[in-house]
Amino acid sequence: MSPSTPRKLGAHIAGAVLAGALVITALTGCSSPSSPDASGASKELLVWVDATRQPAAEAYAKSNPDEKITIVTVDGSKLESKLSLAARDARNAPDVVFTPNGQAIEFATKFGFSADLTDKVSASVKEGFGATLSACTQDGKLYCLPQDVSTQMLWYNQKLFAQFGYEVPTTWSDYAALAARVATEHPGYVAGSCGDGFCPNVYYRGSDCVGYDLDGKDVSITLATDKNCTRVTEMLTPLVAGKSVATLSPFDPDMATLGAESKVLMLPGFVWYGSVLFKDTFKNQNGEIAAAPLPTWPDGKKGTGAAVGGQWVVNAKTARADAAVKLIEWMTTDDATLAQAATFPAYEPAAASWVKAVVASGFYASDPTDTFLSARSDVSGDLYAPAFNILDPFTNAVAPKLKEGASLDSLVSAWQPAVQQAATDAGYTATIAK
Amino acid sequence: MTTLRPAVLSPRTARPVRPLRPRGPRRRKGSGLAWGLLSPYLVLLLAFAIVPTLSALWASLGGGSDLGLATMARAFGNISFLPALVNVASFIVVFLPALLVIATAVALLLHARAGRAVTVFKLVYYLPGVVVGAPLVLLWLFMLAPQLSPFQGLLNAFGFETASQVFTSANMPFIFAVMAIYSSVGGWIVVLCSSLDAIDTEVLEAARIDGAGAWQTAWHIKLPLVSRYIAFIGILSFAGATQLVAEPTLVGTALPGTVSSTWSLNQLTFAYAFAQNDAAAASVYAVFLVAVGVAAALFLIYGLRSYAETEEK
Repeated sequence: MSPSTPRKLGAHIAGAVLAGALVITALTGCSSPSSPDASGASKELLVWVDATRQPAAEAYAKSNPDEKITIVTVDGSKLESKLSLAARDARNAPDVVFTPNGQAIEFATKFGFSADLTDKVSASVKEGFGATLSACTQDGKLYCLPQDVSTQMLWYNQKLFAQFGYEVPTTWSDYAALAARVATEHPGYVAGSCGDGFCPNVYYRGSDCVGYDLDGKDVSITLATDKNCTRVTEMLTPLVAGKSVATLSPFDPDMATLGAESKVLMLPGFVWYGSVLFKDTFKNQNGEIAAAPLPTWPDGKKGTGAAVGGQWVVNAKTARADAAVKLIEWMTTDDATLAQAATFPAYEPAAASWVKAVVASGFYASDPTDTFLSARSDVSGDLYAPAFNILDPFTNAVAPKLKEGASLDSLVSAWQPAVQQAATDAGYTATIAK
Repeated sequence: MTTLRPAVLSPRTARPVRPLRPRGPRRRKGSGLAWGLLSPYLVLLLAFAIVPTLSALWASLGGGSDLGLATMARAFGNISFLPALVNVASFIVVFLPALLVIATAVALLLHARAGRAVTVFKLVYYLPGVVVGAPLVLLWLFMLAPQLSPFQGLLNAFGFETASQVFTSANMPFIFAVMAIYSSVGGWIVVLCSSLDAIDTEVLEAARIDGAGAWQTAWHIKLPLVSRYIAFIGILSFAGATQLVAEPTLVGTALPGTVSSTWSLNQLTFAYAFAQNDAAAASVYAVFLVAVGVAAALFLIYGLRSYAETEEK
């Protein structure tokens, strides 16, 4: 200790006090306003939805003021990271979550978040959902209610087809032949898209290619061995090389430019492409775009990957399970609400009302009712519930190289280890089938 | 993820000749006040840098269960780790030398021609620095997408007709380097100009009397005198560059399937922490980034000092 004169000591104290004040200011400046008392917080029903479902959720909250519902809009792409934080902080965890990307099972296995709804939803409601419930089910337990069903179809520009004198393909070999013709007869026009996870989601899953065999906790990656997968690779490789199947995501700005120039001749894809992509993004005119059933493979196989759509999940630790289940049942089954919904309802009794409202918009070149309704029967119980998939690995490991000109069949060797990694990360023991 | 700010490794330690420290009672004078004034910084350093780093280290060691070998095997064995390391390294190889050379060259040029115009130039160079983060990426997405760019003709002349031709994996290190240089070089030019202004005019006058021209003055007098500031810029920029995350994330969102969602190490860390819910593996990457940052800082400080010392001999 140094001998301090009173004056020096005063300077020390003044310095320390000043510094302490600064610390306090800095710390309080950073902290968030304190939350309401715990008892008040536990009474409200905290609901996380995406922007698309926000209006319907708010309508429900308004007509049920006693439920004290708080609605927070959470972007689908950030849901997982936000939930991973909320799962560690029970006080701020939502009671109900909507996942636009069908992650209910993932949230159950990774975070233990999703509540088991098996006994909470009545048998009659379950029946209305039919096969679409399989995307919410694992080991016999129901973890969510599906909002919508992403059935697939072949979207095409009816005006261009008439102008070029083409016939709408009904089998994949017809599709491949037509796409090859487009490459030579009308270069610059697009007959499909293979530039991100939508490529395997549409083409591979449309061929009933799961990409792996699941045996308990063991996974065998079969993208290079399963005939359902290899036939898609064989079909797409020359079409991608010929450029009529563009190496662009359907949501790439370059694709939007092509769409706006009416250069998208046909595009196999989901039921919601009609409004979200062709109408709102490509801004195609009324009477240009039509939908045909998805082409079939020789064995009659058609996409089953379709069924995973948006899902409503209840927090397993919620104090208000009954109110939460009531809300998600209303969101997924109310006829008037579903008729106005952006996406095709999973609840069968509401499907017809939705299609009626869509047709009334006058956007489609021909009545898509039959195509839309018949696509529902493609949905089987054989679905893609595990906590990993072949889509993200395609986006990360295949798409960037595909865009640089590598051939699709040569990239399966990069795709398989990426799927293996995803399966390993999800807690499986993964091998690549030889 | 890394919270250790390399600023704590101030380049002051890089001084070739240390001034004699005052000894005895004089040294103690005001030391209490100094600590008092330092304490806000020390508290924040402790709370937001040292404690998180130690907790990341602890988490990466598996919480002490198995020395973290399994966690490290999981983190370093991830098939995205090596590509991410190569991606970030190739970005730094493009970015860091270009940043240091441009900042130094422009600062020396401005200092050689002092006047009112120089002040205007400093402001002009600094202005792009106000655009950072997401707006910066959006700005360059527009600049480099041939359909939208004001430089459409130039891009077309180089054979780029669509955005997907510009934003390829091979071009990414260059694109991210351009973004980073654009936003950061101006600020460093201003810093270097100030450090050049601080050089004793007598030294420069002596050089002129000895017959040194502008080039010789810049190379043999000014550059050695500001070298520790350049090292400082290098340390901060290196640490920032290893943490590249916003740019690849946003480009990947705007142009789906163009950039892997685990293109950079920090993206991979984020994926482990928030998508895989595997904080231990994420901590391994975080500690790895801290270690790389500290190693680079030490190299720049001591490597440069020994270089300066050999120069003097």
